[in-house]
Amino acid sequence: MTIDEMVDKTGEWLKGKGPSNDVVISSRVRLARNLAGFIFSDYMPKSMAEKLVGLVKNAVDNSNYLKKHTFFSDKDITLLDKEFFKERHLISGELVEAKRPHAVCFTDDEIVSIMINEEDHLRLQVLQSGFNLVEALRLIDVIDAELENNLDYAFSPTLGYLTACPTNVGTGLRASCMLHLPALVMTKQINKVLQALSKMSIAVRGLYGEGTQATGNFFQFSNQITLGRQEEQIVNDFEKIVKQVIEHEQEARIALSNKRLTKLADQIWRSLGILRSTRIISSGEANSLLSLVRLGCDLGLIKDLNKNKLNELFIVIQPAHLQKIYRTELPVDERDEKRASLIREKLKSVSL
Amino acid sequence: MICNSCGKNKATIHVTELIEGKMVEVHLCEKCANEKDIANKVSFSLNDILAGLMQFTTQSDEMSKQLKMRCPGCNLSIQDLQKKGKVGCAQCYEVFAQFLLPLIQKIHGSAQHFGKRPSHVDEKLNIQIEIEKLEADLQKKIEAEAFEEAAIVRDKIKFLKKKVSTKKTTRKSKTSSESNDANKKE
Ligand SMILES: [Zn+2]
Ligand SMILES: [Zn+2]
Repeated sequence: MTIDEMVDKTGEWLKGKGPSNDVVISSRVRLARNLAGFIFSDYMPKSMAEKLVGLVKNAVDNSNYLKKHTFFSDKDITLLDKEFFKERHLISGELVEAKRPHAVCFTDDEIVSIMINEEDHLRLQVLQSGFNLVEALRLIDVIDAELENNLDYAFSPTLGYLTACPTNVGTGLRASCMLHLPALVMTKQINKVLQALSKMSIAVRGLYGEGTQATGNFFQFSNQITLGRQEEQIVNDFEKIVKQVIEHEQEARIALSNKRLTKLADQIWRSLGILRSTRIISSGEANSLLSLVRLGCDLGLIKDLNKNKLNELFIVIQPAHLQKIYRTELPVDERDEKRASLIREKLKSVSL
Repeated sequence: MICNSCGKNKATIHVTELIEGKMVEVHLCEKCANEKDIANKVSFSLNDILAGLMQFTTQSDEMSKQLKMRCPGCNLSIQDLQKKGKVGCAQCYEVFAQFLLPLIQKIHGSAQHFGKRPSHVDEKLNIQIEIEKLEADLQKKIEAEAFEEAAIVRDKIKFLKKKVSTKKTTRKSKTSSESNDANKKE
C-alpha cells in the first residue's frame, strides 16, 4: 500500500464499532521487545541499527499473519509522512524525531504496526475499535510468537523481557484505551476520576500518547506496571478499571440529558452549526466542537452522521493529513482555512 | 489569544493540561506545543536512580568501584545511563543490578517476571534438566562399573550439551558481530 492510497481511507480500528464504542474510541496493546546482543536503540551505532532493521524486516517477511503489510524504512519516507503516520496512531512522536536508522511496518488494515529502533528495538502494537483489549492481546501474542521464531529476544528468567527503560521491563506490555469523556468534563467530575486513577497506577495522557495533553475531551488511559503479573492479569486489571470509568461517563450522560437536556442540545447543535459554517478553524477548536457533535450522535440527537465518518474527521483535520489531502505544504493559517473547508465539505449533508 | 508559553505567537492550540491531577486550560502556539510534546517525555526519573545509589553510601569503597564500572556489553557506566535515563543494553541489567533492581522493585512493586517466555528459553531449560538427570544416571552407572552403558549415557549427554550450545542464547549477550549469526534462523 502506498501513502497516497492511505490518504483516502482510514484504519479498521476507526470504524466506531466494538463494545462500548459510545465512550471508547479504540483499545491498544503494545509489547516492547529488544534483540539479544544488540545495544539498545539510544546508544546503538548506526551500522548496528541498520543491521537490526534488516533482521526485523526478514522476520516480518517470514510471518504469516503479517502477509499484507507495508514496510517503510526511514530512507523511504519524509518527515511529513512520519507526521501523517503519527496522526493515524501508527507511530509515536519519538519515532518521528528519531535520527538513527529506523523503520515502521503495518498491516494494510492498520490494525498491527511495528516500530523498529524506537526507544526499544521493537514496539509491536495492535489497535482495535471500541473496548476490545482481549482481542488486541490475543492478536499481539500470535504476532509476537511468530516473530520470536526468527528473532532472538533479550530475555532474563527473573526480569522477563529486557527493555531500554526499566518502566517497561517484564512483560513489556502496555494496554491503553482512548476514551471520550465529555459528560464527566461537563459535570466537573473528571478531576475526581483522574485523581482516583492516579492512585491505581493508571497513566492519563492526551490524544497522541506520551507527553501530549487531553484535548476535545479525549483521554488516553494506560497501565503502568509491567512486571510481577502475567499478561492476562495486567490486561484484566486494567480492563476492570476502565470499565468503571465508562460506567461513570454513561451515568453522567444520562444525568445530563435528564436534567439539562435543552441546554446540552443547544451546545451540541451550536457546535454543529459552527462546524458547518466555519471559514477558519484551529485543530484545537475543531476537536472541542467535534467532541460535542460526537456526544450528540451518541445521545441520538444527531441522526444522520455515522460514527466512522466522524472518527475519521478527527484524524483528517490534523496538520499532516491536511497537507497530504491538499498535496501541498501549508503554513498554519492556510491550514486553518483548509481545515474549515474540509469540515464543511464532510458535514454538508448533515441536517441542522 | 497569545501563546502562554512564549508570549509572542498567536495561540492556536488550546489544551487542557493535567497538573497534579487538576485540569488547567493552556493556550499555545503550534511551535511551543510541539516543543512541549517532546520535553514532556518522561523517562525513568533520575531521582529514583539516585535513591538507588544512596543505598550504597555505607559501603563507599564498593560504591566508587561500582560507579566507575563499565558494562562490557555497551561500555557505558551507571552515570551514563543516568544522563539519558535509559539502560544501555540487556547486559546492563546484570552488571548494574545493585542499582537497577531497587529501582525496578520501586516502579513495579516486584522484581520477578511471571509473564510469557520465549519458547526457546523453555526448550533450553528442558534440555538442561534432562542433562542433569543423565549426569546423575551416569554417576550411578560408573559406580556400578557398568561401563558400556555409561558410555552410551555419556554420548547422550555430549549430544544434548552440543544442542544447548548451538541453540540461540538469550541470557548471555555477545558482541554485535557474533550475535548477528546467532540471530539468523537456524
Ligand atoms: Zn509559543
Ligand atoms: Zn550495557
